[in-house]
Amino acid sequence: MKEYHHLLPLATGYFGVSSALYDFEGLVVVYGPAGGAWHINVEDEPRWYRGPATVVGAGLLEMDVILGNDDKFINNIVETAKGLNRRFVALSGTPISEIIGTDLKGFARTIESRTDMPVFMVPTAGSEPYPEGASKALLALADKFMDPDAPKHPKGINVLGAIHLSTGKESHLDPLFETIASTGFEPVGVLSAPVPGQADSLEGVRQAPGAAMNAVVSTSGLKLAERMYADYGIPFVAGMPVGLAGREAYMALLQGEKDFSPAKPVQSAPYEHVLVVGEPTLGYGLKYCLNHDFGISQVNVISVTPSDPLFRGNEGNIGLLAERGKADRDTDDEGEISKLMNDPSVDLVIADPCYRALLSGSAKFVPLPHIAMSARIHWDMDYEYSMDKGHAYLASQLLGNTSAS
Amino acid sequence: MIKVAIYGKGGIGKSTVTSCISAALGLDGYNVMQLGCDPKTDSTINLLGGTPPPPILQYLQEQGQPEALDAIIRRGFGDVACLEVGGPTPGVGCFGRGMLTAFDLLDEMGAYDTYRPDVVLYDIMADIVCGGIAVPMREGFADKVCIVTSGEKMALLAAKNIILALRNFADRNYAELGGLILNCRDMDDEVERVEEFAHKMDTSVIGVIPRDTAIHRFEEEGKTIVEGDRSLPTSKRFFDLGRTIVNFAASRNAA
Repeated sequence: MKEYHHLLPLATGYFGVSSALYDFEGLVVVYGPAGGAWHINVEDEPRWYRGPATVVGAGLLEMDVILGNDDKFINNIVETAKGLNRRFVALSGTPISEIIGTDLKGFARTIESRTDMPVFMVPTAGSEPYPEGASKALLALADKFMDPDAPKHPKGINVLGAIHLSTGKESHLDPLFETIASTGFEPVGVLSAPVPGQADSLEGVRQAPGAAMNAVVSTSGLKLAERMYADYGIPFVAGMPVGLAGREAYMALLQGEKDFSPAKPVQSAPYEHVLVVGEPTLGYGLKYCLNHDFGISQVNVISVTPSDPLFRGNEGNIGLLAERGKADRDTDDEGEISKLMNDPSVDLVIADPCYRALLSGSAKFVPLPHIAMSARIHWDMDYEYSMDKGHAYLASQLLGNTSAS
Repeated sequence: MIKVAIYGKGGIGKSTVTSCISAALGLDGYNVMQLGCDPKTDSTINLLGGTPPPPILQYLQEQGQPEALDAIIRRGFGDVACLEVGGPTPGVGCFGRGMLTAFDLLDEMGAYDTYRPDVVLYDIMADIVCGGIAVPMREGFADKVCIVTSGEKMALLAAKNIILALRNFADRNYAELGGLILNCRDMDDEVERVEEFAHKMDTSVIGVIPRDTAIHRFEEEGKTIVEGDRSLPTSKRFFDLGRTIVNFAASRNAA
């Protein structure tokens, strides 16, 4: 049994669904008890503040479950969706629907026939890690909206897996988009956010099959990338480029270079053994940066969500900015992470600020918010990770520099 | 492929009728799969000489997910692929939820792609008493629902409930009603009564099985009447029913 004394358990599947779909002007319905969606909006969804809610709960009471008041639920959703003028409705499962075997697929059919709106179901159970929920949501969104006959863009690129629970505020990805643009690629679709400048938030999703490349920036985007390779032949690059060497390596991957070797580190940080705790795609991006920008050779990545999807080596993946080390580990167990952080040889820990409470030794702690852990609390913190901005942030933390090199 | 769920009041003869249809279709050269959906695991025993296959839910609990479907499937008379959902001991657990787990498992393991049956028959334990018992009607499972009934009032009431549930779910893309199968109890005017009921409910009687002691005699031997003596008039009724069910697929494909 896992025990949590200082941390909260990480967000689960339906949080991932809401994170993936939030920006597309739909209505995400969490099939849970009364009050079940309130904490998503109020505590876990920093993008919501007193506007019409994008995420609503089913508001189930005991008698609704016993008597199967499906019509009441369906009528509420139909009314809400129409009243809020949403673009679609997504039904997401929770432990309740999983245990009682609710037919959310059937509900989706009924709501669709009564609203003339696109409606789909995301098969979450509420016990899976949030990237799995987000991944299923992206697949369902793709099934519903992608246009297989979208016009081809030879230099078009989709960014997959940019969900706020993993990548934080959209602005953190600005350097990534600038670098992508510098290689000649143009964004077609960003999942999960509208492409800047597009009036229709779902247009990017519809046009995504026309892109020539997919850039997967968190594990939530991997399954969709694999599906899009199988269906449309679009290859993908996976990884989150952090720092200067990360940027160079990422540009090389996007341009299909196979034999890229990074430049020697220009700086040397006074640390010997680093522990990076967080989402694996970013974790391995940080490892690459610490190895090649700061000359730190021993960097262990602790993935708090499954890292296996990154290393599946499936067809279509033409580049991966991640290399698994022997001491890397997948765990979200507080006790285990605490033990690893307080290993006497570890002199630097990079993790969400909530993990600072686990540190009892003298290792330096560099805060890097993971929204799936700390939600609103550190949303507005001044931090960066991507490309040169990430380098500047790490340099300021590791070397005391205040400007990017 | 056509997938048909057989519903009806408890004790009306669903397993007997389903097994006889499976046996007849098997003899006619069709690839048939019969899935017993009752914790008693007795749907397929008369196709298997009295020995049911390992129940799926018990197998899952004791040994986890099977590596291959062969572990939970036994070939019975007419080469029918026989399966039993199994379920909790009486008085505990939730059979309806268990049925969903078993159906999902078959789907996940590609049972229909692997065995490529022409006809799948789901023999459902009872009237639709809860959401779980309606699982086989859901999109992706049965295409058609057939209801076994007699002319007795309570059997017809059960049939009516099932038909109303199906119509209630029409906009969920659930299975369609295929018709009624009359399993006679030797009542006066029984055929007329059920025909009249069918007319009122805007459906039809797709088969009439006479009361025949031969059915029970062969069941005592662990056989269906079709296996026991295919030349009997009652056996011929099952061959006719089988053809009607196969024609569901033809009319569905044409639509």
